[in-house]
Amino acid sequence: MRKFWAMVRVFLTVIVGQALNMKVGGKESKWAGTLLWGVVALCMLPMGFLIYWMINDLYAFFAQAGQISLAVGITLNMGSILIFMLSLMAAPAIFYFSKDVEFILPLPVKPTQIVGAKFAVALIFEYLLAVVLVVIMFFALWGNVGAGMITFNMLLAALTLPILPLIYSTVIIMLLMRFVRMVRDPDKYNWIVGLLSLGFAVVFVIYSQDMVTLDEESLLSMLMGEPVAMTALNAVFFTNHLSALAVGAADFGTAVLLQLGSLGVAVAGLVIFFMLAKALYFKGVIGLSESGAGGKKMTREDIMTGAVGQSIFKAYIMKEIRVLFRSPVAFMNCVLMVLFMPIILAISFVPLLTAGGDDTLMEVLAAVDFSDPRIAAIALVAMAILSLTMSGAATITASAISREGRNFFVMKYLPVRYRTQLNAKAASGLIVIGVGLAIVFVPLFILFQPPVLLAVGGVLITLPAAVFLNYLGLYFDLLKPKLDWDNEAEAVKQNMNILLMIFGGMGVAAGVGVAGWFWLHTPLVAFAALFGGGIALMALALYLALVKGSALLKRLH
Amino acid sequence: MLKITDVSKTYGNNKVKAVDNIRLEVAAKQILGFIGPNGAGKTTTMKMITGVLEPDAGQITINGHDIITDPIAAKQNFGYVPDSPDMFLRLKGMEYLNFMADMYGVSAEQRREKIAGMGETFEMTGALNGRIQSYSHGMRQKIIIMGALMHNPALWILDEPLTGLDPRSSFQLKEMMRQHADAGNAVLFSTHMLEVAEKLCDKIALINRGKIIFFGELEELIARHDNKSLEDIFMEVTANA
Repeated sequence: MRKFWAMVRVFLTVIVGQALNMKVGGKESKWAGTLLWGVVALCMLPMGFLIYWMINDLYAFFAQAGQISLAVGITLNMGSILIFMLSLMAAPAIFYFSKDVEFILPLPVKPTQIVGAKFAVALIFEYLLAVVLVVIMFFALWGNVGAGMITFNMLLAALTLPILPLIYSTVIIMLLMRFVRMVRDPDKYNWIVGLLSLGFAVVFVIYSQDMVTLDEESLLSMLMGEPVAMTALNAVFFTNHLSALAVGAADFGTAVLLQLGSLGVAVAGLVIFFMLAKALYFKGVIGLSESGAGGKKMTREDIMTGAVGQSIFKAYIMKEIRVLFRSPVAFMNCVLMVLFMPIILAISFVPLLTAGGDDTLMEVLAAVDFSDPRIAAIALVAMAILSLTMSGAATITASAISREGRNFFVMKYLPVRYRTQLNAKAASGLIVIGVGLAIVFVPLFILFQPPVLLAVGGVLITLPAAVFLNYLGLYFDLLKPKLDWDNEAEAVKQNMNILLMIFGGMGVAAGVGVAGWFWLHTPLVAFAALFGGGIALMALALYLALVKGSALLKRLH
Repeated sequence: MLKITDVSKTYGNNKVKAVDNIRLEVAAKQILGFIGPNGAGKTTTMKMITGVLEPDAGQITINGHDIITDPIAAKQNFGYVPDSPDMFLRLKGMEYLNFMADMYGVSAEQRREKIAGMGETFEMTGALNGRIQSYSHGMRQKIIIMGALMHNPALWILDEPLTGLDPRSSFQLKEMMRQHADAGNAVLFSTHMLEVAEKLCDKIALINRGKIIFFGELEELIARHDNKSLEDIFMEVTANA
């Protein structure tokens, strides 16, 4: 057992160390990392409250109908699905891609102790999420049924909540790693799981929209009829089903029995997991670092056709885009935020646009009169706000230097001016932002059909706004790049520059909104102020990124 | 080809110089072996030659171009193989070679000839369609070497180039270094493998604690130390310096 705990401690120290350590003034600081995570947690608070209100409404509705355990079961299952999806993404890093097993295997420890320690580490992280979820459910339940046995049973549900989802995800990962060669590449694995999660998010949004359109009575009768999906989820996450029944149990004895039953199912799950892990894990993990070149075998003839030249600038942009699109963590966080979020938002808004009988919101919006100067000015301000928010969220340039990591020095020995390299990095960001803006504006133009002059004016406003934030992000990253990382996720997810850009973009957008509300009341004034201001800010950002930034890059080592 | 004159470098507020007033020169057709214990100043010197670091004092010229005042022309004149080949991992081998050729303005004809020739020498042709990430350490080393040679540089700089190479590739690399120098170019490489330096180099630069303690032909060094082996001399001078 001592060896088991020693391994758990080491695995945890490495992961927590990677997550918390940040370089401040050239020195490692745990406080800076803790502060960053604190800020992230604060940013998540509104979402926590939103989830609380949703759960609270659900519980209130079901409590009135005397079906509280049904509601608890639904929320616990939703929590399990969330834990399952997140552990699908996180567990491979602990079990496979950390590559520490090859160092640990020669040590005198049992294989089951290694798997056990890794599972324990993954479970600790999932418990953190489970506790947050259960606490939210607990307060919602408390508000509706008061303190007592019911709410106490709700807290006990946290004990078993993450176990089955983690077992399922880990077994799936083990099967994939053992038998599907393709997923043994961390990039490919993260791609598949990332896209699956996004697909799940889209399905969830569509499904939620369907539910929103149902009235309370129809919703209750649908759920009371135990739809197949709910019965299946209850069977898959059987511990949740038992915990939910315990919450709704009439007497203390039944509740205790049901909770013990839930615990027993979890323990049985763990036993089966260890049996499967023994057969699957080590055969999958050994040789994970073995490599051989992938791709179609190249021939001399392929070289003759494939060796073609292009300009330095174009070649550099292509290199940037290839690296950006092939790095799952950069793609998901920097690119998809811009390309995918508009699609999610569109899906969320479509039911609202079409709901409402004769006068749908879509018809109202389509009838907007752009000859009204105030409305035309609002349209221009809205386009500037959208452009600023999306450009800030892109964060491609805000992580462009950090993502180079310790290999940033390549930029310094290539025979290419720093300015050219920085412009190429900015151009790759602008291309993505341009596509993102097109995804948003083209449908809006089709929907609203604004006058051509107004549309052209709007597009002209968005350009300096995008260039401004794009180059400003590059300058921020040159000021304080996060170059010392072991995992690319650290350069993207634990990078203060990125938070600064996201909130900076929102801040400037809010400023534009305020200015629009108080002063920019005609399209001409709005265009002059936004375009003029945009050009001035763009010039400032270009100066900072290219002149000051080149000097910063020269000094960087 | 490479001239280093009175170059010094201190990191941060340190009083100890990482590189202390060094002078070196590598002429055409020469291979210079740069040897010294860990932390002696080899990597700092290489970083200053390649423009990654700026010296505090002194001058570095490559083929007559000052690395500080005329950096682009100076960089155009060398090809650099860093000590770690874990670079450009998400590019395919062929994409990386095309990228390097574009950066150095290599014509389509020359790049075809170079890629085909070096691909065959290093047995890398078949792997060029795969991502560098999927390569073994040795394959990564080979692709970086190929990238550095795409523009046929006047000066070829290699930092610990033989680490991770199999015996055949190691032999071929040494042959290539010799051929590159014989073709009128110069080669500068750092190594801990004294027997390689002994067999391959025309000149040796021995550095310890930031100072060049010997720069000249190997025979001269051996003659000065009673015909001892390079290994014995290395142990002696780095212990006493």
